[in-house]
Amino acid sequence: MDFILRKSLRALLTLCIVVTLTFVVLRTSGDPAIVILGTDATPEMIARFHADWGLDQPLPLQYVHYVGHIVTGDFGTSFLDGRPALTVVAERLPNTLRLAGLGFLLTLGLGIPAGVLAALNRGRLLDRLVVTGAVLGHSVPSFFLAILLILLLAVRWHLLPSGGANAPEAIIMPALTIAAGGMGSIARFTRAAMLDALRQPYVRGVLARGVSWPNAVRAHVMPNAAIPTLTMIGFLLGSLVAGAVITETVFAWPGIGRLIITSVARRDLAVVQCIVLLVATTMVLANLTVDLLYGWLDPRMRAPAQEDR
Amino acid sequence: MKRWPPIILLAFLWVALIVLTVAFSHVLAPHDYQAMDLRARLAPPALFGGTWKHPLGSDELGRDVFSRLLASIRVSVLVALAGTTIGATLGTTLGFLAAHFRGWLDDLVMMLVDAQAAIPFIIVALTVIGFFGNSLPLFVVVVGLYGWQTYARLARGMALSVNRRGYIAAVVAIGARPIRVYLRHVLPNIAGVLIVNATIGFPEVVLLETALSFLGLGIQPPLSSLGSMLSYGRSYLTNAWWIAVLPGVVLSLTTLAVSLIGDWVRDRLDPTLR
Repeated sequence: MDFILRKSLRALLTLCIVVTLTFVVLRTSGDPAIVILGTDATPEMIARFHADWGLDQPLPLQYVHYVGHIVTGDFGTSFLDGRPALTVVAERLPNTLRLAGLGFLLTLGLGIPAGVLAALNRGRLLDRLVVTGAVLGHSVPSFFLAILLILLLAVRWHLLPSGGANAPEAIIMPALTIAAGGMGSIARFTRAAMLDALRQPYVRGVLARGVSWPNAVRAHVMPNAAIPTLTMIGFLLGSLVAGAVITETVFAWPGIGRLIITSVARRDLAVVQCIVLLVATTMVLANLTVDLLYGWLDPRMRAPAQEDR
Repeated sequence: MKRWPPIILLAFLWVALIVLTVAFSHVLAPHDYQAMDLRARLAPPALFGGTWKHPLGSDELGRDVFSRLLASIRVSVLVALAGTTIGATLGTTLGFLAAHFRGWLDDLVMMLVDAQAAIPFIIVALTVIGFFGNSLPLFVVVVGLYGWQTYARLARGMALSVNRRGYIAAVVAIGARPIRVYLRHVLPNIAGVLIVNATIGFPEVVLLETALSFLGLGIQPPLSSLGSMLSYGRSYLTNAWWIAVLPGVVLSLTTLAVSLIGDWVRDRLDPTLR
């Protein structure tokens, strides 16, 4: 119970830091009224905005107001669109969830088995292929991979549409691109975790007791290798978000990744701020879930961290 | 001395080639990278039916792709080097401050480290560029912020353990001030680990710079980065693949070479990882 409380408090603290930093960035980058409303806002609009967001008050009070707005889901108005920023973002969200979800499934569905097989065949051809593939997947930047895919599958062979989200098969290339980098790291990590678990004395122990090799791997090696792999999955979510930004832009996929790029380019900052806070909240919640799962899977983790104090 | 694996030799060779390019790109380039030659637009590379006037072909304005490639490598590597230096300096300084003063400052630094690690950096970079607008100095600083938390964590942890050693107590006892202790005695002892961290992080810094430039939010024309070359090459994929593919290949080989070297050095320094 103490463990859950500690981790939740930490997550809440991280979120507070993010909100505070956004506030600092917002306040230091000029008059937020102009930033949020746009340069063509009338003086009355600016005055009303100042009163609404309490900008005529001292900084600590402003901060309280700001947090109040954020907590009630008021992120300001998109000046390109005229609608609340949250509505604009929410509209694009399902597309990103669809793409990132499929990418995530591909990453885990191909990366983990590849890592497991590589570890079980250590030093053989399969292992080398997986390791080489993983290093390549890590080195080839996603935007270049996207361009290669477009060049071959769309331009040369006309198999798939080069962008957009109109045809159902249009999701294939972006999902592959988003999955590639993470697949490499998860395969490498799973391989290392499996090798580590295989080396443990208890494996020799169960084999000596007459448990068959496949059963020993399934019931003893894999569950132990799963624990470190889980942490990696938490990190993967971060790379999925970064991947979505690039992939959606290359493939003209109408999600929030592309939205943040167009919003930054046109300085539609209410939308940028909304996406940043949304991503931060998602990431913090995801990390919290991973931490809690970790504690549930591995009781040792529930003990207070032994820091180098 | 163990024999070096051939792949590592190749990686070092490639890195040497890149370093030479960065140092001598002006001398090596056959044309000015901005010079237009409108009569030779979209000329293919020499080995794909073009002429040796433009060995790697030309782009939509007839600019020489080879010369642009050299100029872009230079910009991308220099920005990434500057970024890595900023990140390492900032992170190490914060790590030392946290280790020296402990207390609330330590807590604050570690909280920032956690917050930074929780959010994908590209989002932070986009926010800063979005709110403050884009300029070359700001862009270099943004690239420099990448990965500071890894140095801070390393520097803090190692300074805490080095501080307990006898020679540190000795120099403190003969009256050395903290700055001198950290710069002359602690830093040299942990520099190796920080440098390995920088080597392993370098490809990621290059990828961050090229990704932002690719998205049109990094290096702006007339300067050219590998990322911005890829970005405009994207519009000519149907009739001039070389504009996008060549910088992509250079970029992939460079990150591959540096990360192979980084992993190899780390494994050599830490035999338990084998």
